[in-house]
Amino acid sequence: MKTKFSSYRPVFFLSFILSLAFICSTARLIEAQPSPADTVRFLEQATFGPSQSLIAHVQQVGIEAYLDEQLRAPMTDYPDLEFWPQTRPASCTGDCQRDNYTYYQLQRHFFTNALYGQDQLRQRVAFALGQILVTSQVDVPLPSWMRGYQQLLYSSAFGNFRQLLYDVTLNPTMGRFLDMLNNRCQRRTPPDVNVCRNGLTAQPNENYAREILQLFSIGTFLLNQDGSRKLDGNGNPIPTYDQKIVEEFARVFTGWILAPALPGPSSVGGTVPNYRDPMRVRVSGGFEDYHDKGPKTLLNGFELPGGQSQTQELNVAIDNIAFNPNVAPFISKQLIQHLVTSNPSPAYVTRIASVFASNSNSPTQLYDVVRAILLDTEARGDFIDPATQPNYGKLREPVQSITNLLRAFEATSDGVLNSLNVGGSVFGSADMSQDVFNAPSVFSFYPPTARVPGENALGPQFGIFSSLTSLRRANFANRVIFLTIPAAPPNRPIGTSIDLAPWDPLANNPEQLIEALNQLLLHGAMSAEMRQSILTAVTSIPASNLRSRVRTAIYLIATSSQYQVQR
Amino acid sequence: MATTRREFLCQSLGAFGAAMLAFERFGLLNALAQSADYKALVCIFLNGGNDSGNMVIPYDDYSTYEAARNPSGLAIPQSSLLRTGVVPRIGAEFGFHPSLTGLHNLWGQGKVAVVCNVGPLVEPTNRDAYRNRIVRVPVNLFSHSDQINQWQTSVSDGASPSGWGGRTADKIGDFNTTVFPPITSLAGTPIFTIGNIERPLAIAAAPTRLDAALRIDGFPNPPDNDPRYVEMQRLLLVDQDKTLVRGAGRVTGEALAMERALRSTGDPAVPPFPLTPRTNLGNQLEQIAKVISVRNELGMNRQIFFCSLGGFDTHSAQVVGGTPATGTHAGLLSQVSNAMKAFYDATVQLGVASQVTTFTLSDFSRTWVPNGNLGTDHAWGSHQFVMGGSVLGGEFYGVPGSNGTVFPTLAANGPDDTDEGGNARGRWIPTVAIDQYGATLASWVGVSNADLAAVFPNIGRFGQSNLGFVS
Repeated sequence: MKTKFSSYRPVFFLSFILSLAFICSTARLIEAQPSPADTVRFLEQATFGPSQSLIAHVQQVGIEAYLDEQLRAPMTDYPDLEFWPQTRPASCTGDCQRDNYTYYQLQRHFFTNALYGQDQLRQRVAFALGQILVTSQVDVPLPSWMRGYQQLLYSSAFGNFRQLLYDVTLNPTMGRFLDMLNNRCQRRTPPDVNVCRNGLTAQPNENYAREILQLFSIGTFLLNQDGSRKLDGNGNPIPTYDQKIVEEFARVFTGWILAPALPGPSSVGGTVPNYRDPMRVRVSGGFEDYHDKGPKTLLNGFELPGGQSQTQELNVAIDNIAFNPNVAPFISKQLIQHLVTSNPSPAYVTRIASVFASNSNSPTQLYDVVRAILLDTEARGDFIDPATQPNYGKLREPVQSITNLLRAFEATSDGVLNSLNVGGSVFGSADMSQDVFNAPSVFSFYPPTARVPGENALGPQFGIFSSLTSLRRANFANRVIFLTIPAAPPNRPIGTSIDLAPWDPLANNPEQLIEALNQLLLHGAMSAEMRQSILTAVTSIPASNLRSRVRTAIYLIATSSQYQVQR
Repeated sequence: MATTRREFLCQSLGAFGAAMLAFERFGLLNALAQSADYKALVCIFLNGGNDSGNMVIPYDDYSTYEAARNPSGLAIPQSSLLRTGVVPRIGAEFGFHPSLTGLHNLWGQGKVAVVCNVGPLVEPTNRDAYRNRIVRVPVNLFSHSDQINQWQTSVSDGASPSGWGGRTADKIGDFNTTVFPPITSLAGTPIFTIGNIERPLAIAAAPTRLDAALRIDGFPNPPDNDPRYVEMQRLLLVDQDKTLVRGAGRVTGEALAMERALRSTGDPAVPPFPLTPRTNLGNQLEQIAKVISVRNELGMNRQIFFCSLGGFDTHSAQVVGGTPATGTHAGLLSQVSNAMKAFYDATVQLGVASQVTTFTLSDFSRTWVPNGNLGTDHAWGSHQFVMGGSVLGGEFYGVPGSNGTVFPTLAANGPDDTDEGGNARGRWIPTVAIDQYGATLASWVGVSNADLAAVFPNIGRFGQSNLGFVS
């Protein structure tokens, strides 16, 4: 069972922060030492939330050294789930059914990793990548089939993008989700002919071909390196590909099947489908008989001559996609939006796309990109001036909204946070429209084009921020701040709770309490009006009820739009 | 055109307009509306691209269908089809997928119509014009996200910040006597529901009680004297110089106000709901029926509802090999049909069957020629169902195409296909623009002819703005 961090006393924490603030503001003695406010901002962007202990650590070592540490930090794993038959044996009930036929363990470990894992940056990037290169429980019913894909995202989060795209393409979970698995050339007789006969009955499956282009790599329009669309002479955007190109890639992606079956669990025996190893080439009678070996025209008019092996063709096709100039701005901008701000400046996108492109052969390309995103001048600083950058920031997505609050107060949790129904109220991440590993489709949880309600600004996460989910966020905060998520064995073994006792002494002085929370939750950005409002509520509570003061202050900050927007 | 009261209020109040309007409603809580003048539209979005080629199938000309779809295992057996009788406008008989028993029953009662070959269009388009690129065509054809946007916004040649459900709501809000939002969603806040003025209220589906379909925990009832509640409200109005903070506060402010409006509704029964067993779409439509049942208490004369069901992106395993009338698609259609039928029956019991019109939308239909995985890929024009007491049912509607009827010519590489040659897959070029389909529904619910172009900016490019399927 996971346990709490070593407990940092908030009183100590406050004096620590304030003294550092004093040092930093009077004389920037140590260049490498980030300001307290910027440290908290950085951890909002780079992790699943600033904890008091991690803030102190980064204050000590500096942001760049922390990024170095994160590159080397041992990777957290998902539980090693046994592979079970697709159809549940009647003997598998109770915990067996829960663990092998629902996503319970995967989702739970996602949250315990996020709450307690030391490889925070890797996890955060993997979570972002998982919302770009999407697979979902929708078509992947067994958790053991999903586990390998999520491990791949963990292990590739700091890796090379071209390699990631190749590995994702041959991953059996993706193969199943987007139908490259068993996609085949139709009616080839005899099997060694170079091209498929025109299939009057059926054609290669276009699913993976379309989505790898549209969502995983280049997008639908030609982009400038600053992320804006290129325009033709009439001022119209220029498509990156057409239906014909999709059909050509659909033919490239033929001929892949599951690796040889694995032995089933000992209690069941037999064999089970192999969702552990990459898909393999189907060979029959000495021929790659499912593969369409005809010539094909790929992006930018690149000609595949035909007659090559299935694996050769795949490698050339992945190169054709991964090294397309659109990839750098398309992926870079989305990573910025996931980590830092929904409306990055064109110059910011250009700087990151340049890092992406110039490191396209680096084994740590994505780490280099993420590091550049987080160290960029547009990401760093104590305070973002609304007068000059009103559209800055991003709405915390539901997972962040949950983990950030819990990490800030060093919560004790079993990680059962995806789906919660307590006291007649529902407020898990799934209930806030972010059902971990179970996005509604390959288009993930929210569209990158979603706007801030009533505003002319992008806010992708607002796609799942509604009257309903907004109140569920508040109800989650209410539950953990004023009550607890109680243990309810076996599926909620210890529940989730935060210990606010260390904060009680501060509540004797409401101004001090609010300032400490301002540093921890809002990196010191609380406005005078907001401070006054919270103070009014807190001082309405007699000092004889310190805990109630603490709870009221935390609740008002945690449910505020000022906090829900990471800025 | 005239500015409506709501538009005026919202514009003049600026950023806090809607939140202020929300609070205004409490003064009007007891001002009951006159329910005689009630109309509602209910949109059911079939996410993923419903294969309408296997939903409405030629019966007389079954051999054409069978030749295209039987060799790959997708043809629904003729004997299992639910026969339509001779469709008056076509002069031939069709069959519904065997899972559509509820909708077939309502077809027989004249309460269900089919609108044929609808899709996003920039301007009227036929095969020659498409192939010779002499017409503008929708952005990124065959892409889910783009076609969904076009179905929901009616704008196919560029980005739109609002959807046609929301813009319809902008124009009908003045029919209502309170500021309960005219558009309510059971499935998040997709762009269909977003107006230039109005924003959707998203609530929970059944079995959540209606009076808990929005709820804030942890406050006394009423909460007005709790300083924490007071300050929570106040915080929504500070730090308005930050765009995202402003937008989030707007949503939360409306939620807090409407949570209180719904709290007093109780949880009315709307038989024949709940379905046994409960289904995803059934739960959404059940909650919609409950909201309609309290329309007087809420002061509603015009409403739009949005709900959706996913899973229609059937690239593989659309049917079960060897028994094509079963499988994923059959299960989805069964859910749709059963939920819609129950919803219609609920509106009969509520006495509003002729005042509620329900209709389907979907990303696109699917390739006439399947792929090799018992599945189908992305296509374009599709057929949609319209249901209600005011629907002129038992008939097909649309715009006559290549064969002189509203039904497309079912031939890959034929006169309605975008594709050419031996590998052509049959992606029908729509003859009906979404603009026309939507305008027919919007007009019925109360959008005036003068306002139609504000709701459907490109409607003038297409011939009929009313397809005549609802009176």
